[in-house]
Amino acid sequence: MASVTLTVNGRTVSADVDPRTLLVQLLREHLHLTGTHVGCDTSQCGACVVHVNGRAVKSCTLLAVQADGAKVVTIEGLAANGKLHPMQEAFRENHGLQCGFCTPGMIMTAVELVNRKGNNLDEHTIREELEGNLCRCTGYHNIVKAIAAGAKAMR
Amino acid sequence: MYKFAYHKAKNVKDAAALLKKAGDSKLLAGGQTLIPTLKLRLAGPAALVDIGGVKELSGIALKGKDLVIGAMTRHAEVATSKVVRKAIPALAALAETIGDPAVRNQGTIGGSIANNDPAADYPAACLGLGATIVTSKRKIPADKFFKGLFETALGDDEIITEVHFPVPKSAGYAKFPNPASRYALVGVFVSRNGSDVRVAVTGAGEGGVFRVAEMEKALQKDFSAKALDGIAVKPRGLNSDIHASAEYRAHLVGVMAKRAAASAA
Amino acid sequence: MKWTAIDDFGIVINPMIVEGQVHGGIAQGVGQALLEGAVYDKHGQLVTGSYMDYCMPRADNLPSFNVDYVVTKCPSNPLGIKGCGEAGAIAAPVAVVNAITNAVGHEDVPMPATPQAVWAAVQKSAKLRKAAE
Repeated sequence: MASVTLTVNGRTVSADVDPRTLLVQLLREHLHLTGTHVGCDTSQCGACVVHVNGRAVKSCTLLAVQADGAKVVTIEGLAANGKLHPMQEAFRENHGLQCGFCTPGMIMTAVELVNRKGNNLDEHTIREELEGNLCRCTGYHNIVKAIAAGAKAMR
Repeated sequence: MYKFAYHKAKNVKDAAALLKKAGDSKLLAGGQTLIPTLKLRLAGPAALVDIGGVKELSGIALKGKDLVIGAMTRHAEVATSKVVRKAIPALAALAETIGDPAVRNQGTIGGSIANNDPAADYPAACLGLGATIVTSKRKIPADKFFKGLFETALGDDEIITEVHFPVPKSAGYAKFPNPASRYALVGVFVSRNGSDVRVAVTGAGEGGVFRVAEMEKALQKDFSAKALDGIAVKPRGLNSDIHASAEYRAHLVGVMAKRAAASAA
Repeated sequence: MKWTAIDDFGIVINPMIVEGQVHGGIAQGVGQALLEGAVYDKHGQLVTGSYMDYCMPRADNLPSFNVDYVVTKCPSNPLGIKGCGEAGAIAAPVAVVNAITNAVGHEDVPMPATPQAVWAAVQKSAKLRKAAE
């Protein structure tokens, strides 16, 4: 067993885990934060994207022990004081989700994208930056619209 | 995943000692290839030595005529670094085509090179720029580093610490991605540094990354896409799979080499 | 690149949901035409078992779409509505593959028309042209 201590959505948590435990397993199975999804499990689909020290990463391709000491933010950590994050609000406004499975990863990717590239995102940039997020439904049209609107709203 | 013991290294020396002590062990850098490999049980090391916390392995600097990149430097850092963009813009552009944004935030240059995936991008840059791979034990020229599919000159307890890229006069990289995985179906890196002209191909070769002497000769005389007219790479020795036959890959090597040369001019 | 889809769904009650179905259908149709193929080896083993080999449409494979309607009320139900689930998938593969066959000059183009398949089709065009000369 290995012990890990990390901050998840502002809360310090410690756990003794088998070193094989993936970050997404720690989040979903130990902390019951089931908003982060496992889609492909081969690090293509992006349903499991969370922020580790401010960087978007695929939590199905990171051991929990690698995140020891890190600050992790999941989809559950975006809304503040019962109010949706502007990116979440934009997805709702623009029908940016159909079945909703890819949505947590899409939103976490989108928020980091805005943090990196700013609030004015053109369609081409958004589509290229979504390379690691798959939507089977496949509602990219509205996801792209939602991210452009969410980016502006995050100003 | 098979069971493994986990060790966190404090520094390079510590990591090398842990590797040696643990025996059947693997270094864990970013883990973007290793973890999927472990999940599929394609590897089952007894121990992982995590160098994620070794700060001395990370960083980008221009030292003399070399661009020096630390082994744990993430793809995203190389892609966005002002130093890299100024010294070797083709290298920054290459890093930006690896995986996707989340993979680039976590994957490292050292991990990519040590793994030597036959469709990875960095091996093409190392060979195409005549880089030197610095390890915990020695300096290895790229020409002697890549030994075949997933094989390198690295010893069991040897750790890549830095990669030294000589800053070329000009360089270019063109990649035709596999539509599904977005790894290189074929990627060609070309560079010119005085009389040293290099053409390195990834994604295509059965034995991993390789140089194309005939193209290098032609580019030595005239460093332009046009100089590559009529030079065909033979399909023999090239990969053939569901995504591309050896014939198609051979064709793509020609096209990508021209695009790389054109972008370098 | 511009993509326009016009459908007749009868009376449209919730345009937001209906347009989502058209968007998704088009994307899946483009996937079918260009990207998605399940391949088995000669032993019957699926070799496209992960997204490393099975090509899902990504956002950068597609443009945004213009969606519009012609409304003909359906006479056989009181709401005048028709089905719309994934309707975009009907015309999308046809439109894409027609564009390719038009460009290469013959109809021997498989689905999915992967880069390699289109390359092979172009080689065939060159052969056909030579034979015709």
